[in-house]
Amino acid sequence: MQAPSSPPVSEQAIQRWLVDQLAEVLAVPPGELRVDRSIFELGLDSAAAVGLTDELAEWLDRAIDPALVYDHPTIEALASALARTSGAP
Amino acid sequence: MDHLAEPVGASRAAIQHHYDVDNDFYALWLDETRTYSCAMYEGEGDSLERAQARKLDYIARAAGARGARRVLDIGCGWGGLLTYLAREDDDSELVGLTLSREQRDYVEAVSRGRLDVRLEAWEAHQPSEPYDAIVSVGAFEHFARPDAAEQARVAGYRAFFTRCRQWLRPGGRMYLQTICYDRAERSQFPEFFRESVFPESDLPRPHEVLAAADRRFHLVELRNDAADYARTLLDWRTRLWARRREAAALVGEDVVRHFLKYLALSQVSFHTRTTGLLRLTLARADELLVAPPRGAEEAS
Repeated sequence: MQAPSSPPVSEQAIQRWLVDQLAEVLAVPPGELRVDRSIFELGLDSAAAVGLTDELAEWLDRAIDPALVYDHPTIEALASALARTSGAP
Repeated sequence: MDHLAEPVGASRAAIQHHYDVDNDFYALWLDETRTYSCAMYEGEGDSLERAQARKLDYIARAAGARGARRVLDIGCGWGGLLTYLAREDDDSELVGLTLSREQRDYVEAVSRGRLDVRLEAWEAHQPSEPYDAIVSVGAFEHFARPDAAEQARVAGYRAFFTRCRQWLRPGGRMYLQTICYDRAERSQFPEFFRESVFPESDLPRPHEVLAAADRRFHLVELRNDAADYARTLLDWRTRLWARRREAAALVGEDVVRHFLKYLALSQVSFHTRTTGLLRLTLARADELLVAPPRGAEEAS
């Protein structure tokens, strides 16, 4: 297996990061964001979803498949999928 | 020779807005044939290169262009398909039309005159002899303007098929590949595409393509390979992302950011079936078909 260029980020850290980012994009307090609801139902549109993918790619320093958000549309499912693909615990 | 007549669809300026960015920039993230259209994948581990080669082979077979003497490629891009055909048969006459000066100059230079590439809209094309095969990949998307009503759009497409039929010899075939609206209505599509990616262009709905081709061509095969385009776009975007710093040095960070966004939004639109990818194989209707006689109608 190829060694990652930077240490893997944990699922919890990814989830916290997603909550903070989406709270800002959707202009809601982070505490009010449900991690088990579809982020599209929360009001994210496709351009914002792609923007989120870009921010994630910069933060994690790797290319992220923009379709990942559509296949895992809740914060908890997305965090879990991202952690799985980065080899994080 | 340049034919400066403006096309019915997107103008030259609009086409050049997208395609005249910088040939070296596209070379960073397209495959080596610079095929800038949906590939054809097989299996999980397939590569962009193999998928593009498979697509070129599929098109050559579908249109009967392999070994054909005269082939026309409407919207030939960087000449990937014509170059592929040129290796097969050195006596063939391979004609490509494009509205992009950068593309025309590139194909002329690399083919050293082997390919006959013209900076010409299809409306202005006047072949000296009929063609054995016609292909058009990723050009039909530019044949209608966003403000056109459905009737006008179909009329424009029908004029295109009428001309293609006239240019083909009896028994000739045509392959057409185009993006279409699928689950979404026009109004639901992100404005971003119309405003800043492909200005002055609008996509067809599948029934509009079929209605326009009706009685000019027989439908031989129709596929919707949206998943192939989602995968092609992901492969392109992953390559561009990996080389984004080199790309920014060529065209600037804003252009790179714009392309990364457009590739991602396009991928998502195929992934969610907002858009589809039509591959049509058509056979020339050798008699322009008319309505069946009354007796046939009553019998059915």
